[in-house]
Amino acid sequence: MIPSLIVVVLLALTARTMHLVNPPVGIRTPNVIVTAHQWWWAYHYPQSGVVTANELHMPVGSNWLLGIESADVIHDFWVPDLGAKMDAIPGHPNVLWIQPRQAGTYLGTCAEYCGCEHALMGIRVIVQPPEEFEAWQQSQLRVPAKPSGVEAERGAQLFEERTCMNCHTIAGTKAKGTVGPDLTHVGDRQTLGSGAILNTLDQLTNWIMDPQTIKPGCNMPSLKLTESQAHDIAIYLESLK
Amino acid sequence: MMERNKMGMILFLLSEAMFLLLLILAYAFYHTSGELGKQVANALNVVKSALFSVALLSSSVTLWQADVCLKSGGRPQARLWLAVTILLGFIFLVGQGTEYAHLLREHVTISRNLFGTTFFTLTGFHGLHVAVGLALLLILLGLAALGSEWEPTPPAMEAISLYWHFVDGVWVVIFAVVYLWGYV
Amino acid sequence: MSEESPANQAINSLADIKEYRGMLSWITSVDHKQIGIMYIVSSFIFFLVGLGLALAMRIQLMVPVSHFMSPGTYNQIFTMHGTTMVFLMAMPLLFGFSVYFVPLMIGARDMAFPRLNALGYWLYLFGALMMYFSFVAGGAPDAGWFSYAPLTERGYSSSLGIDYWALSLLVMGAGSVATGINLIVTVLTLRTPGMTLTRTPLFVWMIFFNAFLVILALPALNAALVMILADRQLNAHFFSPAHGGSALLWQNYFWLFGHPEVYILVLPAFGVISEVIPVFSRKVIYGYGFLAASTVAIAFLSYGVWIHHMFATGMSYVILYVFAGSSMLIAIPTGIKIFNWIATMWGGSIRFTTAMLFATAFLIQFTVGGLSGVAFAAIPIDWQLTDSYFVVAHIHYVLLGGTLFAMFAGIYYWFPKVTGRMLSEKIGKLHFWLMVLGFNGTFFGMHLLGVAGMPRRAYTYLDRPPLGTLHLISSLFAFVLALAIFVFLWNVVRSLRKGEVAGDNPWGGWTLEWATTSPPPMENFAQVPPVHGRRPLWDLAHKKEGGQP
Repeated sequence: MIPSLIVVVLLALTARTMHLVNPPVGIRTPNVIVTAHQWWWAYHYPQSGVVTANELHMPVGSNWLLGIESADVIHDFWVPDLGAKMDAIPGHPNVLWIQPRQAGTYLGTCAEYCGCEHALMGIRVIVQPPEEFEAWQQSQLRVPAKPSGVEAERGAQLFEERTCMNCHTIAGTKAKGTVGPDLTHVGDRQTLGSGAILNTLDQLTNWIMDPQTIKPGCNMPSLKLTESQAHDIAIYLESLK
Repeated sequence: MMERNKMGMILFLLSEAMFLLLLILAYAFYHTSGELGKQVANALNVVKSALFSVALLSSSVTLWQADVCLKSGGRPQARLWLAVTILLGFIFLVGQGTEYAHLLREHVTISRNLFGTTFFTLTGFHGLHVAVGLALLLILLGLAALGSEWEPTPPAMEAISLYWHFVDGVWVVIFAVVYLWGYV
Repeated sequence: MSEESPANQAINSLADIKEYRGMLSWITSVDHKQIGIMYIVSSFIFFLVGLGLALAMRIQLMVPVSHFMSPGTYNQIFTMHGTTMVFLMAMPLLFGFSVYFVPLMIGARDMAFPRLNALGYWLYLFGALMMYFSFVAGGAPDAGWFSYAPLTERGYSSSLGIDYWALSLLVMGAGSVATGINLIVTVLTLRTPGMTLTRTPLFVWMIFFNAFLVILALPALNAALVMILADRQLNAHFFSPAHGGSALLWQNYFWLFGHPEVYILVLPAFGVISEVIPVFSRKVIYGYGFLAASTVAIAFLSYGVWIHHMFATGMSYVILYVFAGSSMLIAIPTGIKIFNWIATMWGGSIRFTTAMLFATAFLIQFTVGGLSGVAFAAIPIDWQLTDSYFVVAHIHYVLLGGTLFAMFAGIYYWFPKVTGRMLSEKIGKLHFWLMVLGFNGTFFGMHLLGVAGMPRRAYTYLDRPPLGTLHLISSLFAFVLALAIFVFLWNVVRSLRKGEVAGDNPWGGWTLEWATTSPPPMENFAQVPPVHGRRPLWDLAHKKEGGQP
């Protein structure tokens, strides 16, 4: 008798908390669509049209609805300090409420084994005051300036010639690939490789030369570039702010 | 206390029932979430399949008849009924085979769409069970024909009969879910 | 009672049984005792392999961003570790105990279907060998022991690893179902006269209901395996969303098997504990009826909780409430058992032999594991902690701290009966304390790792405190745990050669297996004692002093 009563009480508390954490969606549409890929995260903000990857920006103090989807296998979006986790299942879109109360940087991770580089599929959420967030959105919508400087120009050229554009998108250029992360404003990001390395010129050069040494098994092949070529491309990409 | 071989067979059939139930559920799940209904109507020939189903279900009756004869001591009649059972089961398999051939000619394969995937898996495993059952019945018939030294024991007859009736019973469910439901 | 009948006085070690001599007699055996021993020995070999895999994982995870092994290797290793421990170690170990002791405890000469018993063992062994063959056939499976689709589809897992995984499990699963059927028919048809079901030892009850779980849960796995093989080899579309298939269908079918499976892994342990605790408390088991009835309740409920493995998949709240409720409810019958075992010890005259030490540690550790498990039934907690190291802590507390500790209790209790020799109590206690230290040191911190955000199945992690420290501690204690296992193996080898001769009933046990020689002769009993109650040997001893039958 008593254990059953305890169960009833616990169930009631469970239901109440479920509703507080993840209330019904109603007719609300998501503020950002999170699409999980094998081993990186794509973010698309339907209201403003911003498309980015691996770094999610949100305004502090609001209730945000995230659409959680997958482009390939099952992943899971989990930022422990911001809220619950939700599976990203291909063919079965899910939603998740996030209510960030404090500005700051929050780290999360993919929480459903999704293959080779599941361990290094990090999530980085930058929670900002609303004005800063708005400014960020505006800057993301701007097409980046043409590359200036010899090295950056060479880098842009190489980017086109050496198949990079087949996988990546850079707004305002011929690069319209969607296999890999959008790189339009990659220079702004704090990390690369979905949190695997810091975004510095050296690290980016190493990545471009051979991503397999940093994230073995990831879908970006080693492109057999020389260090100087990789360096030029890195200079170009860092200029995309 | 129930005889041990019969008990063992019933338990085995319980586990097989679970397995086949899950294959049926997979078919039903995809049927309700897609356009399987139209596909069934287009691809399958319900009338022909119904005929072959009659063969299979009659084989249960003939097997039961064989059992009755055996209990009343009529061994040659029992062997005859057993042979008829096997023949009817064989007719069913041939019928299934022609249905498969027709589907494959129409390019409805296991990889064509969800209908093909679930249909071939479900009916394929059922057909496999029928084939195993036929093998068991043939062994029974063979042993019975060899003379009284090799005569299959009553528990063996009973256990294998249970298996055959089970396989027929499962077909009733499959026929209803796959062939009839498509028209509802 | 240690009266030895004249014909069997010569038997007090494995070498005294002539049928045990020679490889051929083992390979062709249909004797339940030989088959039981083969299951147990094989399971230990695979245990050592699985332990090796675990140590490799712990070395990789000792420091952040380690390059000790590639992710491809790690992913095969963690998959094979889980698959090995569940299917190649735990299940055969439990089957080995079951087929060895159930006939003895019910006073039978063998199982109902001796040849089917042998088939069950050989299907297991060959399935297991096929599973490991994958390493040299292009790569071991690497999608985790529950292999979620669509990661396991051909497009995302191109080596044959998953095919080997599925085929091996199908082979082993057939063996398991065969053994399950055999156990049920044995218990129902071969009990000695006088042993009604309510006088049957609790170990036999647990194995009996466990066998029902086996024959009804394995088919669910078989259906799922058949479907993934169809997808991979015949281009079917059961689980490929691109063609309308459902990724969630795999999870539903797998967990429909998977949840009963974890009860399959624990009910025999409950049976061992129910035998060991009364004997070493010199007291009748408290609440025999409740222990038996709660087993039935667990068996039924175990089919109604599987969705709790899928709380974070975005299902409707109605489904979530129902399964949260059933998952909380299933804790109750298990809790009843724990109370009954503690009540048995209470007021008893307790002897802390190694077997009893392991049984007591089981009570504590399994309860910890059970509490962490039922925490997941509170869905918001699950939403944070599922798929994190908190789950890893939970599963190891129930399976290692629970089942394995209970099986060690069973080994120290029954080793004398199987081999005719006592295991050394001194070495046994060293084994025990090293295991308690090693196990808890390795796995307790994983609760904290989970709360700190460490996901499961990750070959490495970035350097964020406290991850590095917790992982380092866990890895160091893992070596203590490995040392404990080697101490145990030393105990076995030493005791087989020069252990003290056991005699028929070294512990003063009351169930029928103690009414014959150690080891038992091929026919098990020269004569089965009369059974008028739940403790036949106690009744026999006390009848001589004028006690009631």
